[in-house]
Amino acid sequence: MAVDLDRCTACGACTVACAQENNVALGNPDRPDQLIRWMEILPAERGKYPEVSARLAPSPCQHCDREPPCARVCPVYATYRNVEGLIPQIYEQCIGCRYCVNACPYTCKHFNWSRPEFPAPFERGLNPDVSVRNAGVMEKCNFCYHRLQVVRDTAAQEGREPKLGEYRTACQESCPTKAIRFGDLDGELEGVRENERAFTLLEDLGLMPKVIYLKEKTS
Amino acid sequence: MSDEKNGLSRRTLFQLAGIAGAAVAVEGCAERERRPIGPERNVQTTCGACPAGCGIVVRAVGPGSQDAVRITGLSGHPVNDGGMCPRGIAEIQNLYHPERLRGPLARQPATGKLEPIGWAEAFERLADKTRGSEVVFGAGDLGRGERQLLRGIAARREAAVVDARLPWGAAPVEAMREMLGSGEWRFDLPRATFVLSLGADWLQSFPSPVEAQRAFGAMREGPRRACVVTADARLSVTAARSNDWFPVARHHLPEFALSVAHAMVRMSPAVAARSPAFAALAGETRFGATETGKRLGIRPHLIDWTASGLGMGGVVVVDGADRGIEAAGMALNLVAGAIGRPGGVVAAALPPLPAGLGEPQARETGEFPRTRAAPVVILAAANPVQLALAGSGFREGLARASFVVSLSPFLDESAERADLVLPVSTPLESRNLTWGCTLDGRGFVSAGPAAVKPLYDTLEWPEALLRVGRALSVELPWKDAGAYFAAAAEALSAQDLLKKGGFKSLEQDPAPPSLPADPGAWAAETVRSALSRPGPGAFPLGLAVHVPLAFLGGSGAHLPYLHGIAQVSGREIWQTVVELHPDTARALHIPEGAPVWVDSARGSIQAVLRLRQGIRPDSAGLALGLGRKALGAFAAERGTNPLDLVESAEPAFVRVRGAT
Repeated sequence: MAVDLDRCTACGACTVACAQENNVALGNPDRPDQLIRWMEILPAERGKYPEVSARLAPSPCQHCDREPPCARVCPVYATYRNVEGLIPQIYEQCIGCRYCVNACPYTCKHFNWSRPEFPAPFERGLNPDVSVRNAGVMEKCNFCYHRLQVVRDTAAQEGREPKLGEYRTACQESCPTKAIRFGDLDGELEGVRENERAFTLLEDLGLMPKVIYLKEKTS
Repeated sequence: MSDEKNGLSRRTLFQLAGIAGAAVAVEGCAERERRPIGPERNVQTTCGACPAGCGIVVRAVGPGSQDAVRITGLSGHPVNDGGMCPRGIAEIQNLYHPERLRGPLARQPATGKLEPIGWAEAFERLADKTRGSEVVFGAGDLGRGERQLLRGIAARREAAVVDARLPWGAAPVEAMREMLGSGEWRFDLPRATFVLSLGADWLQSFPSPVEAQRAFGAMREGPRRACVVTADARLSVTAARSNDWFPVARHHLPEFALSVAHAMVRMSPAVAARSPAFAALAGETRFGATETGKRLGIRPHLIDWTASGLGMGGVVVVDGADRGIEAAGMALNLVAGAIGRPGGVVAAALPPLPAGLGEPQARETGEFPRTRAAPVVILAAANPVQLALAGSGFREGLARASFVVSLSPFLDESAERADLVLPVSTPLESRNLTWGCTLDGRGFVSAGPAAVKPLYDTLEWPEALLRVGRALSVELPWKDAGAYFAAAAEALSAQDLLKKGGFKSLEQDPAPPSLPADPGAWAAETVRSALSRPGPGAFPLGLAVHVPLAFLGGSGAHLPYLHGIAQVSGREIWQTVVELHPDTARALHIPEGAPVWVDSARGSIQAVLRLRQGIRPDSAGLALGLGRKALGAFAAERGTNPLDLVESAEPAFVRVRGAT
């Protein structure tokens, strides 16, 4: 995934589209600290008044390419790097030990402290392609993995290979400024890593996140 | 270890296990009952979450394909071109909100409670109550056609219409009307080369939110790359995404604009001819860059630099909140030669109105008519109990009303006090037919069918308004919503669009505007009067009110997903936050995160303190949208309402003190 911070307006469409697509818990106003959002806009203010600037960066799971810290500590193989290079989360397998929360330097893992409730008729708006998690289970962005399955199924039914750009995440789809792009780093996003504005979060950790940010242009 | 005999490595085995696991995870959770996905439909239609008119595709599944589960933008649509705003996506939560009204309610005299009533009886009651009575309408965020309908009914009934929309983020319609003869002008942001946001956080609150974001994206595209600067008391989202932020207190923004105009005239005296009156005011020595910079606490060269940018084909974006600021901003557009120029302020090319939606149209006012003693008040998507400014007199008007009717999908704060509550359908349950104009002035028509059947016993907006009209003895040319939609679609040649969903762009040019001799004379007078407003006194901090996109128009707090994006500059949630500069908080001996009282001459509210460098030390930032008293667990009693602090949308002043 490539996020062009020069185009991003922090409108939050990605956050809401992600929550709607992935049946993220509604949240409990009495426990705001337990709010789950797979995609968040991280605010970072820099400088001192009056020379202040702010970076507002949409932040999903970074899908670390090299030894994802969450996968390294998971005792039950509920999270791992799969063949596509994505880091899925297997809810049925997760025992809720929360080791991965501590290990993830990007704070992208979320724990269901209670069973998510969707008071009727909210549940009619749930996406049938995605399960609702239970209490005691970790969850996080999985780059809308269910959409990849749909793309593959459709392509198989039509007797063809998935097309370039066919697999789209909900955040990418909703983005009004087209700041979020998604695809194979050797396909749709070819050349992104080499872009002079490209950077990743906490680069020094050497985890090679697959969310690549393009920093704001200075001119 | 690997099982090379079978050609299966240990790693591959685990990968396969993982894929199987993922499939299980995606398949569903054993403890929850699985809903049948059923036949799936993708309904192409038009979003009704705000009047902008975005094209959307709604994925509907379940029995009869009646469960809306996903909304995406319609590619190629002139307003949103496939993009969405969070409010549009959250329409699914609006549709399935547990607090929605199931049918009409009427207050029973015996119990004083709202009880269910039939539609026929509800409109009979309305007809009885309005017979011989004066009527006042409150018009909130209605669609374009619905607003025309309501104003047409009001004109025929000689009823007043009070504009009950929140002024922050609204178009500067008053200045446009006074200066340019019509409110139908657009800031041509997609083609702008230099943009000055004068106190307007237009990336968060704008009449057409997706277009604002898209315009920003367009500005960042290619070698043209527009320059955006923001003058405001706080580092708003727009300021944060601008090339530069000039920290100017809200009450100083008219002076800042005058100073920029002063510099423009100095650089090129000929521009004064575009508005002699405003140029004369700006020409006063006190508005020189050095003097103004000293007074306002900003560097003088920024004023000159802004003047150069505007002089080379820039545009000033203002909202309609404060008259003084909107007048100053639009006058600056005049001086900059932005009126009628591509990339400036362009006239809207709107299609001709369908017959029956044109004149007569009641004019909307900002204040409740004080002369009307005990009127019947009809609230259409209006919630004055929560959102009216004290100075509008709307709450007092409501208190002395003989009968109050609320048309809304929810029992909001105003509906709770109404005598008759008429529930309307949400946008996904309604046909939508709208027309408008994109930011670059091109007209469009957008329409579509209802995405799903109504969940409850509710009426589409046109049907509800036509029946209200009939109860008021006003006859419009259409017997029901079906006839209205058919006639409007025919007039706009949009029959197919209404049936199948879609849009069309219009080719016609806007009518040439007839500008007065000096369109800036009104602005000069208005700005002069704004300059004489009192500054901070006992309340030393300028109040920087802002409206997050999540709570555009002051509504949306009942939709849980929107809370996750409501605090853009911090991570607090479900609470009202007051932003202060660390030096200011230190002087007050209040630590970050502490509960505080924010006081003004009008009232006090509680908030939680957030410290940030991105705010002037003489200002306090507060977001609107919380402090609801109704609408269920996600909204009621969460945070406080900053509108309790202000009389009007004019710059106000507050003080902050510890609450413990």
